[in-house]
Amino acid sequence: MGELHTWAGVLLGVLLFAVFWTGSLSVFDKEIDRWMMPSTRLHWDDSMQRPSLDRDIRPLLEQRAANAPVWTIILPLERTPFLTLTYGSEESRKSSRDLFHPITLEPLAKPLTLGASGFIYPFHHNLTLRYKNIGAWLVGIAGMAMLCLLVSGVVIHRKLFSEFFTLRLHRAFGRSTLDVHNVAGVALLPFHLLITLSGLIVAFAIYYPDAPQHTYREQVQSGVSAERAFLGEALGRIRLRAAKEPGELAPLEPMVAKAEQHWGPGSVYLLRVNNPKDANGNVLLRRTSHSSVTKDIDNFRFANVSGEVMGRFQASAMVNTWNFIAGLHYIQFRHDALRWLYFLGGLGGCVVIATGLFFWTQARRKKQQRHGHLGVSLLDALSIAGVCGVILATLAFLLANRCLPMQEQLFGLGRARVEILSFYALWLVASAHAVWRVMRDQRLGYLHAWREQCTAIALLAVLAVLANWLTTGDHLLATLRSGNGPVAGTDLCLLAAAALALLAAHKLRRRVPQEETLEVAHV
Amino acid sequence: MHLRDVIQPATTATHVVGLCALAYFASAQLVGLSGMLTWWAGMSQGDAVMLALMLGFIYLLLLLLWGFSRERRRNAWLLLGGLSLLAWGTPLLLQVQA
Repeated sequence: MGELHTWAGVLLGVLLFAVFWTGSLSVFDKEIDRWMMPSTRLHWDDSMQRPSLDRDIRPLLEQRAANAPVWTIILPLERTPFLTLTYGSEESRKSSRDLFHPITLEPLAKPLTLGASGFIYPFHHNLTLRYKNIGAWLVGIAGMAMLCLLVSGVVIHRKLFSEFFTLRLHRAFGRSTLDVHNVAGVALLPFHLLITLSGLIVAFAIYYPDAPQHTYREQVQSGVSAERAFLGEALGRIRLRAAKEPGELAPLEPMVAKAEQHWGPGSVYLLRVNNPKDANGNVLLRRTSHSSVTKDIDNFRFANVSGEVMGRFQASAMVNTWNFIAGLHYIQFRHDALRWLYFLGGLGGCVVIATGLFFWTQARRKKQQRHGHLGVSLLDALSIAGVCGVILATLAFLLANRCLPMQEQLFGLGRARVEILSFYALWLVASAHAVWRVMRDQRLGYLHAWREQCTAIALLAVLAVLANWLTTGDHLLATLRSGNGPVAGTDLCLLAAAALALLAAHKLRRRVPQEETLEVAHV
Repeated sequence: MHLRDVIQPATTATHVVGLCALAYFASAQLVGLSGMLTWWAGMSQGDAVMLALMLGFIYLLLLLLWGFSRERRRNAWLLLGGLSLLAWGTPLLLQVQA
């Protein structure tokens, strides 16, 4: 068990850190979106009058995408305070997306960024490597390794309860690092077990794609895909073919009113019109999951032309168990305090992983001095690039968002793509810096690399706050005064990150002479 | 550098990767078998598959922990291999019987 804990941690620690870091940020992805998309810094609460679907919103769709095969209307919500319309083109079903002011319905300036929900969140679950789900598989392997680490961690730490109360920050560096690792690991163990297992369970279709084959063999024999049959029955995901005959879309408001008779007023947040101009089109209505932990996948389906109910999907108790687990992971419920606890729990996971890596390399350094292996130095570089590097990359992404000119095309690429390139470019630079520092001085280079990258984190975080102020005029005092929580919260978190990084850099600076003294004594 | 210095880590790496793959294969077969058995026990098809899918990750975790806690590598391979074969063959056998 000890070996399993060590090697699973060492080999997958860096990937796990990236997943936990981006997962923690994804808890506030919509809020970071507000920071990255200044045109969406609006206010909406559920007591406000929604725009009329037939009078106000339908003309916008007719005007922009009359012949699109699918229209999606996402009504304004507290965390997404704008109207979103998405539609495919005649040539391609790939959706384009437009945002509108929730009251005036004026088109909002194109954000020209994917934001946190379009980049950081996908990075969390698939590392943005979508080809054959390679990224999702890597994340899945890391997730399963995390579960093994948690269980084997409990087994190897037999003095679990005494370690829970043992935090000796003023003892030797290695001892205090291990104490932080143990205390954070034990205190957050239930949260980490829950979040890791739920993260795997929500992506079941990727990890166990053949699961329905035996159970749905009759459907398979009649030519229906087992997966499709399962998704239709269990999750209500069905596709209806177009009749290829013209049809006129019935009014949408009565459909919403009918659904809300069952679900409660204001509960519909999404309408998807499949084949809007076809006689066999249909309108799918989804309800929000704001008032419960369980992710709500119930839906109403109406006939396009007649406006009559075609079907109502209600998840079974078993599927709602899965919905509950998915809801625990997706955090779509409305509860700010819980959201902050999730965020802190996720950051706690980052601390456990980073201190685990740091302790392992520290402990192996003495062995390295005796045997002269390069392995520990390389792992040091990998840890620095994996921990500080990904944080620096995130800050580069935010900074690029505020500093790049607001033009659709930059250097022959889309602006959103340039932001993502900034993320990877700075990660690459941080990795190169870590390798260079560690290889140049195999004794103390790792301390210099950690310290310099911590200082860079502090610098970039402060620059991001300043860039937000200079480009939008929304400085911290103004956003705090106006109650603009998402922007003020993001700025405050950036400043807190800068302060913590500076503190870490300061402690590391004090550590270098101590290490030198120890080295001399050892020689 | 001795040949042993290369062979030993390579053997360990092969054991680790192979055992992970075998544990995953066994868990995937157990998911299929669990779905089928719970369906036969009276659950609806969708519920049976959903339950089996959620259990799949628990199976995998237990198999990995069990496999890596064996002192003799050969035992882990034999027992996980046997379990995989059993879980793979049982649904086929039951389908033929039906």
